[in-house]
Amino acid sequence: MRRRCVDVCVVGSGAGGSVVALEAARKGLRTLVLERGPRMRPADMTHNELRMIPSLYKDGGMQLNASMDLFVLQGTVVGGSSVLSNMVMLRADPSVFAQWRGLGANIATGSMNEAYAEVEEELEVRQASRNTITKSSRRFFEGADQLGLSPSWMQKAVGGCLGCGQCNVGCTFGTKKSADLTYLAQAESAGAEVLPEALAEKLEHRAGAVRGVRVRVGRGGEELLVQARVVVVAGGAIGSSGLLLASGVTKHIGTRVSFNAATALAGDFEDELDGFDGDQMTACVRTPNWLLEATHNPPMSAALTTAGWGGDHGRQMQRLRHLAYVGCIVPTAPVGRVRLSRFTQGEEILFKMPSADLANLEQANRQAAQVLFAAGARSVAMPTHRLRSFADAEELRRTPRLFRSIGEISCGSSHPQGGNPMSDDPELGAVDSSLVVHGFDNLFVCDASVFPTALGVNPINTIFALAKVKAPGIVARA
Amino acid sequence: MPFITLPLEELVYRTLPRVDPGRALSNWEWKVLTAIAEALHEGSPVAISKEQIADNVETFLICGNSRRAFRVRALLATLELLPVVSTGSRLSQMGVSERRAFLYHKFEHGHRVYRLCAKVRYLVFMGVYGDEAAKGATQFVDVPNRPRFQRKRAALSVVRTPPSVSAYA
Repeated sequence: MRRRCVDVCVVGSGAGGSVVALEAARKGLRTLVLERGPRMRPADMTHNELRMIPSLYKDGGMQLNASMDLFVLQGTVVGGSSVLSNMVMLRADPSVFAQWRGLGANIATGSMNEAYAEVEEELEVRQASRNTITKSSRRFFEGADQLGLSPSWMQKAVGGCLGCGQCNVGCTFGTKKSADLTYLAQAESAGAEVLPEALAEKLEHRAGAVRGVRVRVGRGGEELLVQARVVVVAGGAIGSSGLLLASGVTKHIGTRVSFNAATALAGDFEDELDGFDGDQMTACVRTPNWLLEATHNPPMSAALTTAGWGGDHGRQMQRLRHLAYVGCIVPTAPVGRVRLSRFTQGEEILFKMPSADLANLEQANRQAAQVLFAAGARSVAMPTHRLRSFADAEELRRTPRLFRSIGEISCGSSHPQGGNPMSDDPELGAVDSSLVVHGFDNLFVCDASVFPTALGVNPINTIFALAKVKAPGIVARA
Repeated sequence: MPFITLPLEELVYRTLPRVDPGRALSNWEWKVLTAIAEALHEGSPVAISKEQIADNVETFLICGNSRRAFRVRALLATLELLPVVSTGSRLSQMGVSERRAFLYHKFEHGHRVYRLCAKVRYLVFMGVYGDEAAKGATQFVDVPNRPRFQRKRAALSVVRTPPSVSAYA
């Protein structure tokens, strides 16, 4: 077995891992970043969904919870999920940090705000460009405005986005400020090494100290042992828990998993909106209980989020140019778990949507439908498997229940959170507020898996910001 | 006791038919998928054969190289064989309309196993709408063909075109 000795080994190259890697490299530490996915540069990417989705997404885009009613989408590529994200840079509501403090996570709102500002400056975050806002997003904005919902144009880190509308299969133009093209690229310039297609299988540890990381590299599966003074696990909400559990680190690992659960409903308009011709996501409505985001997808992804069977589905797809989609995002309670499957030896996500969250999701869908009607939609289709369409707001109001179980709707999440919850109380959390795993000296977790509860908004800005706050302390241990 | 430590994944791989190198599905599974695609493709605006849909799904699975692709194979086998219990015939042996009615009914009102199997509709959607033919049928305009991008390309080509000979005259 080959061996490598470094100061800092970061497992995972997404938003959290890239910031820590940059901090370590800038301090002159020997830094190695392991990424289980391949490196895909903008020139390697295409707009072919059939090939790009399975190539970029974890488990080929087929990651589901154990009861198979929630798709969980995450990136497996250098840069992690940021490569596939819309780089919507929303800040978490301060009440979330207050809630975290109540759970023993010492996160100061002030220091998070400073970190947000720093990240937003470094990633050149701007309000979505007028040139790339789609007609469908404008309709959504107008509808929400009419209802007095205070819609806003999103803050985004997409550089000089041309508005091709294919963010979720990677940015072929290289304008998106994803982690691989920003923090990770800077880390490499400062001397860090990134090893793609390197699967961290197990952490070697003894007496509260990690000695090394066992890795399989490339398709051939060459074995490598990385010995490091500090190991930072940043493989995302599911992967980080999986690696720790596989390594025998179990206390509170894989607990308090939560999601921003999302559905998409579609409004059919008389005129052609061409929602695919522009930035996929530019307008939103934030409420205390849910987030509504105007969105659109190219045909294959659109088909997966469009309601109905057979002819019903086909007729809607024929109207693709006329459809305006709205994503309804609801933070779920942290009732999920990650465990190692006894059958497949891989990570298994146990999550049953609490009824309160399902009710919340229904209310979010109702409000989104009202926005679309206010914007002039002639019908709105709910995210149910069997087509359930409403002709006006009154008909919607008269309907007591839109769906009774998660099994009736298409529901997914691109924002899994938790699994290694942060709390200074070892009886409540897996890591303390400095992100070190309880009972260890040199093992850290730095990604969305440390969030004690779901944010309810796109988490990427908070992952970057939290890593900014914590990275100096992590690197100081090396 | 090696049997006890054999993961389900391995067990399924050993039970399911052999897959040729470079493929994700066995011939048998591919045929089952075409039968399902034929039934579920009804009403789609995309003119595409059931074989092409199955080929597209297989491309998706090959590109993904997912450890969980065995779930898809198990799902296809389940869908093919489960109807034997209630109808006495395999799914692919039914006529198209009978197959369609059976699937729709079971996916919506059947046992939990069937409702899990309803995920197969996503595979068919991928196979249909991931195809180039879907762009025309949905009137989706490819990025290079959109007016905004054509203007950008034209602007760039002005910059990149070398000066004409007359410019030196």
